[in-house]
Amino acid sequence: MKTLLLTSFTLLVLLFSYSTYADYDRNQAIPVDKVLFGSVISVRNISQEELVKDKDSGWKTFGGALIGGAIGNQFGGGSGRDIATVLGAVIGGSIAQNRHNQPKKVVIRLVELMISVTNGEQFMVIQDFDQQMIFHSSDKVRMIYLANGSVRIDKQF
Amino acid sequence: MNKLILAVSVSLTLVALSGCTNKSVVRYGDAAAVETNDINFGSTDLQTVAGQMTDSLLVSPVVGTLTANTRPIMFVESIKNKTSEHIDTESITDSISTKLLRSGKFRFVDMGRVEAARQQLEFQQNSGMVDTSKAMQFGKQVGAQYMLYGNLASIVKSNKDKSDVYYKFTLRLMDLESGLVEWADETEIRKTKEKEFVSW
Repeated sequence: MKTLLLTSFTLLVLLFSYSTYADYDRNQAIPVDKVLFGSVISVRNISQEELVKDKDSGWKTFGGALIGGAIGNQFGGGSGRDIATVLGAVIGGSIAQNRHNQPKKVVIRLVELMISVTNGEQFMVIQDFDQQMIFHSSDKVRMIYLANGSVRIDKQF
Repeated sequence: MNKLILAVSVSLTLVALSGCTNKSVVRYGDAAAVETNDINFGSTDLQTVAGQMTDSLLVSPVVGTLTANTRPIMFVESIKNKTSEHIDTESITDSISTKLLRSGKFRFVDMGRVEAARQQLEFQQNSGMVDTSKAMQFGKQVGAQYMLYGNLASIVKSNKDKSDVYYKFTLRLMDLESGLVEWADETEIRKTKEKEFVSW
């Protein structure tokens, strides 16, 4: 039964910790101010480091304590089991708090593009690195001025 | 206590796993069926745009005159996509040029295959593997007389209850020698998406 319980917890942790996010939703009809056409002169992959303080540390500490307590509850008998449960909760909560109390270093992958548009003007654009759209020099691109004030570079077909 | 924890954790695990169950089913569908999965540019829009533009071009009196005694040679410049969407505009021009070719009134040169054609001619001329008397010669290609070009623009308006997308596809035919635009037309598509408050 202990094995079954531990397996369940492990599966739950794995399922909820794994998530993927698309960088851009390029197939979405959204308001556009204007579009310029041009080509890529140079591409440089850069990264930016950010320190992020975890805002959910309270919940994670609680979750850690809950899981630790549940695991501790499986050991010993009588008052020994209660002690193991409390110890498990304390250790679980402490581990979770220590892990999430410190600011986390997040590395954001960016791509720096030098674009030459058809009227001869040149623009430097930095945007999120998108695995779905890798740029190379001399690629034909579109420079989309979105109505929300941001600019996005897309490849032309 | 043990049984309760076990029951809760096993139930949670089963619920989580059931969410990941892949139940994909493959079916063939009608390629010409109206697609209304979302408000973005889709296959129905592509077919509408290509169909209407080709019909308009073929029934135009000006084009009737141009194609009365000859099959003019055209090339298609890429369609400028002025929307926020990453639309395969080459697919639109492919559909239009295929329909025009099938009409038998026009001939096309494919600028996207110039490099491949050059490599083939070089192979025939210089590789020593092809009988030179039967090899295709450089400098005998025929230039295009007309250029087909256009753009696709959109206007998007949305609020929390309704989204409206208006697409306008413009196509023009230019005489490359004189620079005159001999024909032009535009197709409009309007799509709206509204929240349905009552659904069964």
